[in-house]
Amino acid sequence: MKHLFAKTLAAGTVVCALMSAPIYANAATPEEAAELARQYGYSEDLIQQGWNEYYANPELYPPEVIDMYMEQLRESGHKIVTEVPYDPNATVPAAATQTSPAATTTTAAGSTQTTPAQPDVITLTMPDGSTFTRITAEAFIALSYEDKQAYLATFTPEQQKVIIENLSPEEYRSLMKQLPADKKMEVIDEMKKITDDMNLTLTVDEVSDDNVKISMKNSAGELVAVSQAKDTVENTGYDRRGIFAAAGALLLTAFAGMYLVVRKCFGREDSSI
Amino acid sequence: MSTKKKNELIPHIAAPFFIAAICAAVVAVAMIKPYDKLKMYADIAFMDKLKTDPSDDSGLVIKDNDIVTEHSGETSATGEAVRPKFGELYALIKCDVFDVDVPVYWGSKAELLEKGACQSSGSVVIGTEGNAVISAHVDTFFANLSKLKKDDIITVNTNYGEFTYKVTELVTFGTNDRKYVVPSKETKLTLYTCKKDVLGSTDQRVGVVCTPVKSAFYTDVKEAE
Repeated sequence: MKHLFAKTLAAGTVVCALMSAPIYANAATPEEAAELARQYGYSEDLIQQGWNEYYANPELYPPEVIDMYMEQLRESGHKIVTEVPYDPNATVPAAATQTSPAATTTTAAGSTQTTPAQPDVITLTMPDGSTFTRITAEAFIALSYEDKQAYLATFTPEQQKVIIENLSPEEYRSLMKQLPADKKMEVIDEMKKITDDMNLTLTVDEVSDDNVKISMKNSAGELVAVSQAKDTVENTGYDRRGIFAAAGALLLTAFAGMYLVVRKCFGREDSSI
Repeated sequence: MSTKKKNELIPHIAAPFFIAAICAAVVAVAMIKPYDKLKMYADIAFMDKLKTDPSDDSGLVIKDNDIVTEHSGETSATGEAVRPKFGELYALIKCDVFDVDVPVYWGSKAELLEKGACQSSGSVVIGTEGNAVISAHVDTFFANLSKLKKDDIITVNTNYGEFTYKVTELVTFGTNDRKYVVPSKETKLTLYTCKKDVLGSTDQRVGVVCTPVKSAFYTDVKEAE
């Protein structure tokens, strides 16, 4: 009897564990969601607004909802960059073959040593433990969108997956900046699913092939964040051309009038002599 | 009145109007700079202390805070910066060459540039690692920015600390050259404005890059506020 009770208890425990696993195994925290958004290059301003909304009503965001947001964030990440068909014959774009210049160092003894030029690379590890190299984040960012795609195509699908998983926020931002306008809108649509759920209104102020500018308003209609893919130089001067043109036109008219007045007055005296 | 007399009268009537027009044009041009300065001082003097309602469809809410400039409490070299809200006044820039303490608003928008300097929300908050990029109009708040020299000291006050920077580089760049406004790993403060031009607007920007000299985070923030 005691044996049967122990067996029943053990079976019950296993069933309970199995039932609860789907609920808690993937339960993500808001911190993880914020970190994922950060990894995909979303601006700190947008993330901060997410936090503000979360802190205002934490009960509205149970782990299941955060899980859903994580999934939508990953979906938006996949829209920014995803694996491209592997082309074993593809050549690495010339812009991606960046090397460190040869360096000359002087030893304490006074002799000079020259280090030959080295390709700038990052070593990545595959799930099976094997390693491969890719170009640095700086070199990847410097590539055009087409070159980025062409560079990814030189890697196997498994390697591409590892590369994409390890892209830095800056690399994601550069990809987002370079995405064609229609693809940028697809990413924003994914983001909107999250922001709409959080009562934040996302509006696209500008979208082009080299920039995207979005504004975020809270439920009260207040502008809480403006984010754009391209760092812009502000317009910090007033355009004075209008006022100068108006003043110039006024002066010209006045001088022309004065000329006519003087000519009329003095011209008459001249003619009378 | 005969036609001859009428013709003689016209120049006498018209002449004062033409002279007035010349004076008006000269005064309008001459008053541009004083007007900008006057507007800047008036904006600071009558700065609204209350949260203002969104002025238009943009939903922008400009919030003018009181910034602590004299703090006698304890400070620490490390601490936590407070991320401001978009449109919020969160810092004051003090420097010997500036006429006034320049208010710094978080976010870049034309309306904010009218009220002070703007810090790009894509840059880092003062007191954190990275590039803090601040711009202002050349005719108002950053009129004297080009007078800054290497090794000049700039102090930035916030409600969480006081941060001192030293000018290390004087820069000139075009609007398409974004190397000074992009994020960086090294901690620095970048201030820029338009290059002075008779017509006002120009594609050239002048600025300074500053490196941090001292960070003093207020350890008793609540008291400071």
